Amino acid sequence: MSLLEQEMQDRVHPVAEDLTLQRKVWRFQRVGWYVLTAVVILTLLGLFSRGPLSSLETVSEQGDLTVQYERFHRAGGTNPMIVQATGQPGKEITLSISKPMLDGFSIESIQPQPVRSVGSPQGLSLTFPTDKNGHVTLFISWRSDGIGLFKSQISVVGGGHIPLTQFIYP
Amino acid sequence: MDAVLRAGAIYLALMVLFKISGRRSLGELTSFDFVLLMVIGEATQQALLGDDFSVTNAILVIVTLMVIDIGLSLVKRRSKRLAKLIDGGPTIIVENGAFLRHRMHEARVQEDDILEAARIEQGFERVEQIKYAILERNGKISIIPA
Repeated sequence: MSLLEQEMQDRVHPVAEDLTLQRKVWRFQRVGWYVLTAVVILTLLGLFSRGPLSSLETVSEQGDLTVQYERFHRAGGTNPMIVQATGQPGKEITLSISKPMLDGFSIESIQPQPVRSVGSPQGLSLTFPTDKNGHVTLFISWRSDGIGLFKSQISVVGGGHIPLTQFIYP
Repeated sequence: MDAVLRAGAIYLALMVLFKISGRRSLGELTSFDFVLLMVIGEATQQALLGDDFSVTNAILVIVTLMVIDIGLSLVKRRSKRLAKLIDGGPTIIVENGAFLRHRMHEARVQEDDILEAARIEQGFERVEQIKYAILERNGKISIIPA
């Protein structure tokens, strides 16, 4: 019997030991430390919102709509979204936000304010004036209310659309 | 409903986390450990209460935590195995004046920790004066003289 085996034998005096279980606990701790370290690294990478894994910029096929957003959110937290859309110079442009997005999030603030906003069972339609190049940039702060996966889309009425897949942690 | 879920989730998460960090973590409380414990408490507080700061919510959360704690202690009394799994068991780390180094390594205890406990408890100077040193479930080291 090796020295290590001898040392790891259960003693009954002065206390009754259960080293088999204790060694399992120690192994669990070792694995646990690696898991915790991995959690910290993944957090830095953005698995739990804000980071390279989470922050995203998507352009629609037609190129008339760009959305910067976070893939991962945490319940109760707020995250910004920047929407850039291009329409006819000097004319109004209407953006629509689909309902799943409004189920999972609520708008904490929106800049600039839309000149018209219409709600329907499908979601929200917001109308904005464009500048002389036909651009409009929208800054929205979303507050996460729901929990889970939300598949929604933002689109320009009569133009391109961007599907969004977002996850809200509890 | 969510008061119970929040309290349950936090209780479980804290139990697993403290299991991982091991019994030495808060057994011997230095002043820094104490501060760390308070910071952990602060970080937990928001998640426990959410954005509901009512007295009712606070009481519900406290009641839930107590119910889980008492329930667990009752279950532990019934099942020895579960009690061992949750609380761990004592481990001998010095036997007849000799360090059991593999065990000490696994349990993250150093010679200095044991000698310190020996000085404080028994006024011993050398490890030969110790018959048994035992790492207890609460993370304290108890010394039995030779």
